[in-house]
Amino acid sequence: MTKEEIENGTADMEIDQRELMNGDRSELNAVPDGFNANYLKVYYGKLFPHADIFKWMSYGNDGKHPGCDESYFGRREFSFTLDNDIYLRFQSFNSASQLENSIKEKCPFKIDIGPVYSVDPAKRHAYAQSGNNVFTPVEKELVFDIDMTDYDDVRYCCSGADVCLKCWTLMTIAIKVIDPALRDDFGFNHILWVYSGRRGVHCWVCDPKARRLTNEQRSSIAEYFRVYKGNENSQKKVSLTSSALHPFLLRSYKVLEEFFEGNLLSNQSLFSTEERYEKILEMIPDESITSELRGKWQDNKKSSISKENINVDRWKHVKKILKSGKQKAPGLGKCVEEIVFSFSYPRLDMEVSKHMNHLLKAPFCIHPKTGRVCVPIDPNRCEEFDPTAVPTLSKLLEEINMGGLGTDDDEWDRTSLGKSIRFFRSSFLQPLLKSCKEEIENSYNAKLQHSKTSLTW
Amino acid sequence: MPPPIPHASPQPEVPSPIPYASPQPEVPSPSPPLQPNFDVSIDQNVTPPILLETPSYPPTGSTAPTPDLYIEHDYPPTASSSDPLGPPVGIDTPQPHTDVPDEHPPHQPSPPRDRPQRTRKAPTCGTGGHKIGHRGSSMEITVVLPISAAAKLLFPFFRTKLQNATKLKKILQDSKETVVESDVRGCLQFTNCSNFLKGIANGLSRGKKSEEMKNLADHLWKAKMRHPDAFKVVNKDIISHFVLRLVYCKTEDLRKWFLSMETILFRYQLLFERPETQRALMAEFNLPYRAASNAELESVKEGLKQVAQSFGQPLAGIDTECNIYLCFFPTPMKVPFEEVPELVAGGRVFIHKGYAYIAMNQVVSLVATQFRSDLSKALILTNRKWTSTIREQEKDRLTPIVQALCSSYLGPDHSQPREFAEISIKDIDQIAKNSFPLCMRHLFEKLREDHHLKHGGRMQLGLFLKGVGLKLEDALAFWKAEFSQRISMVGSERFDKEYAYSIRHNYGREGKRTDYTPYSCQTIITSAPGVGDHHGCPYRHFSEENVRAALGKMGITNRAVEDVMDKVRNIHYQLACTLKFEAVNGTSCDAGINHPNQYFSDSQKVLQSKNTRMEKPNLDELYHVFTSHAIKFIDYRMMGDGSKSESWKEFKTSCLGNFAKNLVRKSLGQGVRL
Repeated sequence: MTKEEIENGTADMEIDQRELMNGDRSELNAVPDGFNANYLKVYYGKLFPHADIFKWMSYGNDGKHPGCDESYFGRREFSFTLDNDIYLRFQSFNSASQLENSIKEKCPFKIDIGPVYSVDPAKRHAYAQSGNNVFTPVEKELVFDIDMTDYDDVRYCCSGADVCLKCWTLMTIAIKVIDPALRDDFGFNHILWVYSGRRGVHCWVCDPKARRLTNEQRSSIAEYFRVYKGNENSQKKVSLTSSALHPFLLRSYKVLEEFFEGNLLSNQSLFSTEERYEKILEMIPDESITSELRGKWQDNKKSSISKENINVDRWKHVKKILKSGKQKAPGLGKCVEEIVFSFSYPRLDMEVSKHMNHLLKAPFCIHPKTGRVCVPIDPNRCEEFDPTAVPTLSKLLEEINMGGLGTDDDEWDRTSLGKSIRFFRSSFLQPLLKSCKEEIENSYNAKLQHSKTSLTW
Repeated sequence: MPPPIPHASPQPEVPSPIPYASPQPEVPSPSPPLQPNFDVSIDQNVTPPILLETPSYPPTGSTAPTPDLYIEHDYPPTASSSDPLGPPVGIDTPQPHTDVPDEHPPHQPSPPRDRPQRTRKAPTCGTGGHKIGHRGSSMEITVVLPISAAAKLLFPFFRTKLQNATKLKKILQDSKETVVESDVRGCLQFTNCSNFLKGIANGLSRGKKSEEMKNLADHLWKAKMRHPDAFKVVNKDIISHFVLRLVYCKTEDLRKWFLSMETILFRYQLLFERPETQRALMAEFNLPYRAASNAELESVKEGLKQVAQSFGQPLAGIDTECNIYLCFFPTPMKVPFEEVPELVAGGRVFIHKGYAYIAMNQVVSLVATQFRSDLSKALILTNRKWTSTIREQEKDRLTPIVQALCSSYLGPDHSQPREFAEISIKDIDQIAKNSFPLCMRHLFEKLREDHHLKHGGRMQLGLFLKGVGLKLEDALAFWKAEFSQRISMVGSERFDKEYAYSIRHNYGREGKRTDYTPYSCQTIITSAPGVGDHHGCPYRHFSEENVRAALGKMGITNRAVEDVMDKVRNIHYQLACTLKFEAVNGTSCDAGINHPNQYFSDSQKVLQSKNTRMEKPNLDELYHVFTSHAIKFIDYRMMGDGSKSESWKEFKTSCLGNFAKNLVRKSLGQGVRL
């Protein structure tokens, strides 16, 4: 890779700049004793599921069926972040072994996956000279990126890059809201949720239809999910203008309400101090109600209500007064929902989803700051997912060492990564490939049929 | 076949403008049997898809599927005016095209040079008008199209969307001839159309709601595109549309802008049509969608009902919940959700298992999506063709015009600092205090305070500063000085590694090496700042108290603050900004604020010389004056003031005249006599 290419790398870059920026905040805590290039080499050599990534990204175009597109995988952009933040964009590979060898050789700190282009991205310059603008993205999974730092105004346990089980609930909620909507509303089936390695989750929607969405269609889906519209300079973060909720929001609200009341209220102690409850009172646009509540709570301060219940009780007061129907101002009833949405509704990083050429970190990478593997999350059991229990690079190496000499091929199976890889294969990859094969088969047959009929003409 | 109504006036006959052409204007060759249903013109289009193409819309009127076009304009009440409310008439059932010919009276009313080319916009100006009710306004033209005519008008437009790029050349020649024949008028019409689109953009950036936009579109349409002769309106629309394609196909950004504006225009044009017309159109396009079956309906009934109830806004004029609900029932269409992105984005549709169930009155969205994607492809193709061959071929004719339009009409992009070439870091605080608009001032202060800005803020402020004249070296020093004060987060080494790159990138020194342009008001207003973000338009994105506080801090009087807040509440964000400018600078700002860098340079101008105001207006300024006048005028009219026609005349003579003249002069060189 020439220097020029490296520079060009960041060319049309839609790389998540926020990711870089937030990097600043990674306080010293994150670096595990042992993330280094040597460890990584072993990981890529023995554990990283190269073949599975290749199979996934080929979507059945593996050359075994006459109807498949053999150039498909070779037109996919990969990009590597090397040690020292050297960024290599527009890498492409023609085979599983090329991919694997390149990863092993370069030992990237991070691997990002980009779109499938109209032509081999590594040769884009050659095409550019022909004058026609043929180098353009044609396919890309529909992706979502949800990052805990976007929730900093509603979590009190940690901030910035830190996460704990208490605030991880917010990610659980996000999965529980987005996943069913993708399946039931949009009709997608092949959805992969992945822990981003530090403080968030990624979602890959891989149905053929999803991969071919235009930017405009991607935006529309992202907008469909966007309820949270706040910024630093306005109090009201969520605005539910209409008189009734859209069915999607209605369904989501049931999830949100359950988690808000059953978990967030007390785990985040949303009402425990004046500062905190003031934040909620700000969202109620009626002076008389807020002062009534404020008065009640200030009086209560010294009374004997136990600490644990204070959040729940105060929320009950809010609900009671807002839902009582006495208030004159219409729309106050909506306040309860607005508060719940503000504190728990998923906050998507819109830009990532809107553009086809946005890159996203590949699953099974190691996060360089935490040393944790980006493992898949089972959306059906996402409550059980514990980010702090995700295997780290050093732990995996220990396990390999303890395992002694085994057959190289499935060394991963004896480490704590085995579970994740098995899940990836059985729940995501196999069903996906099965339907890809069917699709290829069908379109091939249709083509045959077509050419037959046109012959008879 | 209901022959077109009593068309009293000769003009209506748009279709057959073939005066000199063959006496037998109509359908040149009877439509091929293949497509019996379609207009002759359509068939022709299908093959040679180009609208302007002479052959297809041969001056031999076949093209003009508008047999039933009625014009009403109050002004010179022509015969036609007798039937002002042509609408009833208009609703004739679609007629097979073949009939068209018969209907044409032998005489050809329209001037020879007009070719009936593509018709797409016609419907708008037509039917739209009367629905909106411009009662009492003189000077307006109402063109009433029967359904069939409207459908036919639109149809070729779609079909012919430059599917076949090789025909482009012909189009060009064709439009060129028109331009040559009436160069001045030709240029003017492009101007008008361009301004029309800009007016729409302006409306959008003011955050107008859909109902308001609809009115705006209608008014603008009349203001910019009107002409007593409906045929000419159509013609003008067609030609200008295609010339603007050439102008706006150059870059991704321009295409994007043009695409969304044309789509909006198209949508409103279609909205003005009756549901029957819309439906007819849909049938003609043969969009492969079907009504949901009863069984399907049963299973999604609950969802449909919820969606209907969730409409805060009435849907296509139906306002009670109950009616909305009912409106699903005749025949909700079941379409893949990808086909109706805007309904999906707005949460205005029920989606289940990948299908959107849309009410009949939402089909506009469906058709508009189709339109958009066709146009998008065509623009890319046009660009390719233009750069590869046509520009050269047309270098003596069209090219200069297109280039002149490019440079004068796109408005300044503020990528290069103009008058006040450079500013230095030491002056920056003073300058920020005096001449930054609120959005930039806020970012600037936050940066000073927190020594950090998130990505959106860095982009918005960074590009603005570039436009203001901060050189790259200074920009690097400026940002570094701020960021490195926050040592825990951003050491100087880290800055060089991560932030410096993107600053150089903005200046076109890295990566793709594009010299990025500062954000316009529209971009800023439509951005979506999230948690921790300070960018965006304060008037739009701040809560009211915060705007108030920010204004108060700048020492603006209470009264002025109230005026600003009033605009904010009416979602006139740019007007709010303009008032703030006026309050701060103590002068009026006729052009309004459309760009933060314009705010800056205007403010600097005021500061530098309060006395010597610009002696000779340049085109950019004229443009600003023009649009702002137009917008004011429209706002004014929408408020229902009675004295409209007077002010319109005044506006027209004072502003439009000079503007147009200057423009044409600039476009065609000084040799042109006006």
